[in-house]
Parts: sequence; C-alpha cells; structure tokens
Amino acid sequence: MKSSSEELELIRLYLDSQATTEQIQLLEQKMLNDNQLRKDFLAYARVDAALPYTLNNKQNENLEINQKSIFFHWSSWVSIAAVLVFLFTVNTELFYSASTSKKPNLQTIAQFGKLENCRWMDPNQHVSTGGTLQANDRIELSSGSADIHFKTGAIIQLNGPAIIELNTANSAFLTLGRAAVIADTEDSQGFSLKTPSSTFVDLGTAFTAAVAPDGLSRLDVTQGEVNLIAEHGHTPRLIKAGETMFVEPGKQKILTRMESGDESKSFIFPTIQPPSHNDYADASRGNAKVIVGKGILRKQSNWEVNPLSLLDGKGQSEPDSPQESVFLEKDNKGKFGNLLIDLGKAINIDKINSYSWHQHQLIKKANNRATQKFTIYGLGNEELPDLSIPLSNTGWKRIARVNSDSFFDVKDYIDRPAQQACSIFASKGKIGYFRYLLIEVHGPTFFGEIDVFGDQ
Amino acid sequence: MNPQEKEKHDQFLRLYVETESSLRGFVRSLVPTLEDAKEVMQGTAAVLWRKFDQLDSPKNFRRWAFGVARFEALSYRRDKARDRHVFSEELVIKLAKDAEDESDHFDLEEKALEKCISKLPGKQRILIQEAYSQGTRIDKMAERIGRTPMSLYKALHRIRIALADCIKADLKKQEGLV
Repeated sequence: MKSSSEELELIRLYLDSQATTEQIQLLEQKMLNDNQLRKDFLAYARVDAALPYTLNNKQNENLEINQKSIFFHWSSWVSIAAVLVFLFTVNTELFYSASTSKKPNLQTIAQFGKLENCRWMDPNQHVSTGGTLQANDRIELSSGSADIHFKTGAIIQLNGPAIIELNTANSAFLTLGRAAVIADTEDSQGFSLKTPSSTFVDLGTAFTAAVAPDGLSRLDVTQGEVNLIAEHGHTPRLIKAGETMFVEPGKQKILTRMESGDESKSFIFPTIQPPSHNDYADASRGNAKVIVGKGILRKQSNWEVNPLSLLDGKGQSEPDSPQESVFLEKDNKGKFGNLLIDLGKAINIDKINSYSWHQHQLIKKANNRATQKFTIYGLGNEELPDLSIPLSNTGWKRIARVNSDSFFDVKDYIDRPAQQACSIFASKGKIGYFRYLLIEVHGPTFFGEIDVFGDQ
Repeated sequence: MNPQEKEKHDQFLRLYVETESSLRGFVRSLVPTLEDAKEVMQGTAAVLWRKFDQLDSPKNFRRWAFGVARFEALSYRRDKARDRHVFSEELVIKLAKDAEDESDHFDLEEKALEKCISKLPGKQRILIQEAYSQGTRIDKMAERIGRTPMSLYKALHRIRIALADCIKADLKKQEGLV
C-alpha cells in the first residue's frame, strides 16, 4: 500500500469503528483529493469484508481433507493438546495459537441422511448419504431435498433452493430457502435455527422455517412449541403448534401474525383481539381519518361506503357484505391503489390490526376477497408528500408486507379462511413513530376494520 | 411454489451466489462496519429479488447488482447520518465509482486472498481466523490471550495491510507486470 502509515492508521480506525468525528472528517478530506488513498482504503476494506468468508472456506477445505480419518485426528489432537497444555506454562501465546487453529476441525456434528433429486449449486460438490458435516459447513442446494441428521438427534430436511450453514451440533443458520426441523430427542432440546431476521429455538417439537431471498423469515410450528427470538435481548415469544409468524428483516424486527376467525360478526380469533373501539384511530375519538390515496373505492348506485367505517370499531355483520366493506377497484394495469390513514399527529405505534371477511353464501369458491394482500408504510412527517412520487424518495418507511394467501398456504379456495385478522407489531418496543399510514393494497380485499394502537 | 417461480428463484440464487462475494467487498468499502455491510447486503438482496423481473439479461446481473448496492449503501448512510458522523455523499459517490471501475478484479482478488492467507506466518493466520470467527469480540479475545485490545487491533491491522499488499503483488504477477 502506498499511503503513509498515518493515513493507513486513519483507515484502520474508521473500519474498526474507533475513529472520532474529527478523524473521520480528516480521512474524508484526504480521500476527496487523493486517488491513491481512496484506492488503498477500498483495497483494505475489501480484505476486511472478504476475510470472514475466505477463512471459513479455507477451514472447510481443510475439513474435507481431514474427513476420512476423523477418529485418527481426534486422538492425535488429544495428544497434541496434552503437550500444548504443558507448553502453556512456557509460552501462553503458542498454546493459544495451536489450540484455536485446530479445534474447529475436530467437530463432526452431523451427517447427510436421505437425499432426493439433489442438485447442488456447486456442480463439483460430491455428496452422499452418510457424508459427514462439520461446524461451519455451508450447504447450497439448488433443487431436491436433503436430510441432515445432527448428532443430537435433530433432523433438518432442506428443500432446494436453499442455503444453510451448520454452526454447532445443535444449531444452524438458514440463509435462504425452506427447512423443516424435527427436534424431539432429549439432546436436541433447544435446537436453534437462525435466520437473517430471527432465531427459532425448539422446545421439543417440529417446525418449518422459510427464508425469502430478502431475509423475510417465516416460522410454522407443526408440533409442540418454539421460542421465537427476533433479536438478542428481545423477549422470546412462544409460538405454539398450528401458529405461524413472519419476521421482517432489518433492525426493527416487525412480526406479522395472521389468524382465521370464527366466521361470526363477533370476529373471534385464537389470539388476535376482535375489532376494537379502544384503539387510537377509532372514529369515536376523532383522532384519525381515512381516505383513498390512489385508486377508486368500489360503490354502486344504491350504496357507497365511507372509508372512515374502517375505524368504526367493528367488522362486517355478514360474510358477503360489500356495503360494509372497504375495497378498491382494480385499474386497467391490474393495480388496486392505496388507503391513507392520517392519525392527526405523529404517535408511537404499538400494533396495527386489520380484519377482512368474505364468503359468498351460494358460491363456495367465491371467498377471494377475504385475502389480505398489502404493504403498509409509515411516515412521521407532519406534511404529507405527493403520493405520486415513489415512496422511497419521500421518506416513507416500509413497515410490513402481508399476503394471507401465502401465509395460509392457499392452493385452492377451500384452504382460504373466509374471515381473517392480521396483526403487525414489533418484537420489542414500538413499530415506529408515524403520523401517516399508507396501505398499498394488492388485492380486492373486503376490509372491515383497521385498528391502530399507540399513544393515547 | 410453481415450476415457473421455482425456476426464477433458482436462477436468481445462482446469479446472486456468483456475485455475492465481489458485491460484499464493494459494499464493505462504502459503509463503516462489517455489521453495516451485512445489513446493506440484505437490503440489496431484497431489492434485487423484488426487481429481478426487470433485469433484461442475466449477463447484466453483476452490473445491475452493483448499481443497486451503491444506491442501498447511500440510502443506508443517509439514515445512519442521523446518529453518527459518516462520509459525505460526495466522497461515497467517488468511492463507489472507484470500486465499480475495479470490480472486474474482485473475483481474482478473493482467489489471491486465499493464497496470501496461506503464506501468512502460522501465528498471524490463527489470529485472524479467531478474530474473524462469527461472534468474536476483540476485547474478549484480547483478554483471553493476554493482550491489550489496542495491540490486537494493531496486529490485525498489520495483517490486513500485509494481505492487501500480497494480493496486489499476486495480481500484478498474474498480469505479467512483475
């Protein structure tokens, strides 16, 4: 590197997050006028970024070489470790170096089980049933399904396309794709599957986790219970058999829960409360109003729905009641438009619940308007920007994406609950500080009620 | 997932995995910490996936991905700038342009990095292996091996410089310039 040692030290301070404001400003001034320093900075940063991955790959290569004679290595290293313990008294640093370098190579933590129609992202990868897996091994499955049997008894069935990294004998990191976990042995209690947005800790059960390419994680508990930890320090949430939860990626961990109701006008759901009069936005309080931001509200010559009915504290009284439902027309481009809730002032929002109900009484197939498909955004500004400008350019923050058909895994109308509730909340603290909520609607949903809970 | 969606998903994954390492290096050079880089990478992947249908040809994926990553890094820095000092947009744009200009070499660089790590003295290799393991905290690591955090930061700094120099030399050698 051609830059001076003082300049390189500034780079180090910056990339180690130790630089003061003055040092960052100094580095900035220098880099603005010095091409070579910028080049060195970028080269240094690239090394820093690549090291965790390159080191991991190298370690895995070593592991492959060592795989065949793993037991020999175990015993060898026990002896070596004994010698090193002796050397410890003589040279602490030597002990540290040798022991940490070899320790990870010793851990066979899992084996491949049944492999069905597997295609691997790396075509040169040779995998067979019984093949051993070590800590930090990364499995990139393009298609097919692969079973991974952990030493603790936990089993993961990976369905391609998927990428998973094994961390320990009782934990793994699912980067992408879908993994079904069965962890019902004593040793596998507490098996944890991490995803980019959360950690799912098994409590003696079976669950499926899926991660979209953008990090949106989904947890389906099929048996027993799972603790969902959205982030270190957040209170775990107990998710029981039959329950499903989405976790949005990003720092603010937003959880989305959807449930099917009892199909009565009382709107009773397993855990989500019925439409409420007690929320901040309830029409009776006069705090909030709803308008159609973009699109056309469906109406007929003999009836017209006031969008404010979304805040009236109740859902529809019948299963197929357009006169009591707020729903938008599809335009010729297939778009539905959006609904805008103005809370009157910016408030800290705890939770947003939305409710829908639709079931034609004669045509059983006609229940598609129960589906809730929308993306909700929040804005804390007092002034409402022009809604024709892309939302990302005017400060809107995406809160959550909702697709209840995907949530309920709807393949046919019969899978679709006629009455649905969606609850959006933060794993810890508030969803955000917003005055406006914009609901970009992606379907012909019969919305009956939207409740916004927050500062009263 | 229907066959069409699966195929799309599969194609995206292949292209993304091919580009991921070079993209990561580029993003890291634009944001202050490895954690920030992870977050920007996540946002970048989200946008790439969401707009994947708009990509005219798979051949252009890399260039397109770099453009998206640059935009994501800039947005991230704008958000971050509220609570800490970060580089100005003027500098970030310059850095992004420099990085894009050199991005063709990033794959070669990563291969060279592997070789250069092998050439490091054993102790240095072990030191970075530990320091860059997931979840390692430098202060705790320093305490465990009986060093001060600052001396450990400096040792890692020297190793990174040595690696950067080694990579440069290796690339020059490959180009037949040495």
